[in-house]
Amino acid sequence: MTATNDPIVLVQSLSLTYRSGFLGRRRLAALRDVDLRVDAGTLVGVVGPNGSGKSSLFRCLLGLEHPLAKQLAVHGKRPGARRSLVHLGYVSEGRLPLGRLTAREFLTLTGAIANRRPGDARARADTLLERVGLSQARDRAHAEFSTGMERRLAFANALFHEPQLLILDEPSSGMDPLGIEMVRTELIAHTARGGTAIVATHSLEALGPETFDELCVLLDGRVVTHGHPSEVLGIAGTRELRLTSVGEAAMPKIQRAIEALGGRVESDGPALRSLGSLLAEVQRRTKSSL
Amino acid sequence: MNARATLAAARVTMAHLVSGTALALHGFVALALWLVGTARTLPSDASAWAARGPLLALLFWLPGIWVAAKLRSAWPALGPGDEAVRWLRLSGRTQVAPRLGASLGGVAALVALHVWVAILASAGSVAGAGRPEFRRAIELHAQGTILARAGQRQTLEIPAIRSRARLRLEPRYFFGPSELRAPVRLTVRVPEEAIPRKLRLPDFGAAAELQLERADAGTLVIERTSDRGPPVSFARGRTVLRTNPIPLGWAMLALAIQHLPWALLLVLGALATSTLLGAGVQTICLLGATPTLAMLPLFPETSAARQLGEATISAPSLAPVFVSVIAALWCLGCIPFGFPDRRFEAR
Repeated sequence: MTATNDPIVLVQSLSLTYRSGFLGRRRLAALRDVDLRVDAGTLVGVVGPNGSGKSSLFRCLLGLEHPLAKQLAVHGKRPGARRSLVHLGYVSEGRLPLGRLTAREFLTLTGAIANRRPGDARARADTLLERVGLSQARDRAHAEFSTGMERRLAFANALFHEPQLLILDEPSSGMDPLGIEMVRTELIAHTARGGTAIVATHSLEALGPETFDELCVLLDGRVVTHGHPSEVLGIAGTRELRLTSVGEAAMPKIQRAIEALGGRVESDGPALRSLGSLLAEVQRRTKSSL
Repeated sequence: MNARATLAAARVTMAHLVSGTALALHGFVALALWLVGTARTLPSDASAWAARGPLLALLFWLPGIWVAAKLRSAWPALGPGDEAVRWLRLSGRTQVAPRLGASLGGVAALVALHVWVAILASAGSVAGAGRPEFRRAIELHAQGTILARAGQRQTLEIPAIRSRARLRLEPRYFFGPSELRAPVRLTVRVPEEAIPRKLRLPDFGAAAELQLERADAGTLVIERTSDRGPPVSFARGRTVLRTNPIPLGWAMLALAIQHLPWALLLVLGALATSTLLGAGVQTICLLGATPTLAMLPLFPETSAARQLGEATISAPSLAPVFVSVIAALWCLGCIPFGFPDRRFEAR
């Protein structure tokens, strides 16, 4: 996977209206003049309240809708075109089909559909199940999985063919902190390899805004703001410092120095890590001690 | 064509269709049919079989109905509203290979379940009293004009007989000027027999049976010897030569194989219609189509009920039209159509 100058996703003036009711007379504008450019190697978060158009935008990018747009291209091709779909991994909001299959069988089937050799497909399935934390449950029918486990399997399914572009609709929904940390780590690794990801999420705080290169905020089908997380979420006139290797005794001096520069320290205390990163660290330690 | 996707889809589909539940259901239905057939107290073993045997034919319909009804849940990517349609579509791979795989899995399941049904029918027949000896049946066709007056003849080409055989003659009766109630008298000149045999059809509609010994192929001649009685025609009726006895297991397997094209018609019809119909509508269509198929008198010689009742097994035969219809349905069923999964409109 290599980064090029061409955008992976290019959307200009995208609009989509759903019709419902008798003879489709009731109309609902799901997206209005949406512009989005996603370059290779970036991680874009799409956030907004329920019904703001996140899933509709993803459906347009997957070719499941036929919207009106000046330009709409994924990998330089029409969305839904086979050549763009084979480089794309998708996690939808719903459950995966064929619930009677075990997690391993399901991923092996995914491999067969992608024309992988059975041995390769099984090995890849085992690796991915290990990575998403489902290796203990790999021989269980995935219909028996909890929501969080199902999301982990959906994530593994999306990663199976090592796609260049990941489109993830609420990938961490229903997941425990460890699962959220796994998603965060995988997303960072994916972009580090030159891959691109677009993630719709309500768990921005859990995933960490700093994880994303860009945030796109949707409201009522419009993009209200778009940019680096510090630009989108930053509070004007404030800075946040994280100090390491500083003893308690040094704190009054630092505070006085800031006040002498005209600033004000609003809170002071130890920096907290996320529960997910704590659990992941404990898990790593336990594994290494065994 | 992605052969791996085809094989994987076939395996997943077949595993679902030939599950423990499917085998148990077929066993339960076999047992139920057997119990229904033996519920009445019957005067003889032969009449017990006459009641029980044809009922077993229902069992041979079960695999086709089961596979046609479950095909869509076995591979839920066949038509609008199926849960795996989007998953498969977003894989960006050809849809033909998995559809072909699903159809192959369905057909393989059908074959496996037919073998299972043959085993069940054999086991039930072995256990029951009055089981007749099944024999191979060859349908023969007589030649000649209607036998209305004395001296008129019809001929019948008989194949070589390797062991003792029975010839069952079911002539067609016609209304004529002579007395209808009078018996029809005939002579039958059997190849390699010097003296013709006398044959009497006592009532209007009666059938006759002849015992034939080992002989080479030849022509059997039936001649009317009296003007009394109604006109008859063996050419318009049905003539069956019952030859070598067949072991019960083979007989049931042959019946199952003969029934396979009907089941194929049902399953491939379900596959072809699933492309366009939702699951609910399709189920209603299937419920309507199955009894219609069962009642169609297109190929009476392959009727499982009659063969079970008569304890005969005909050689399987397939009309070219039948093969063409099956092939067409199969091809149609493998074509993936795009179906939108949500209503939309561009602004």
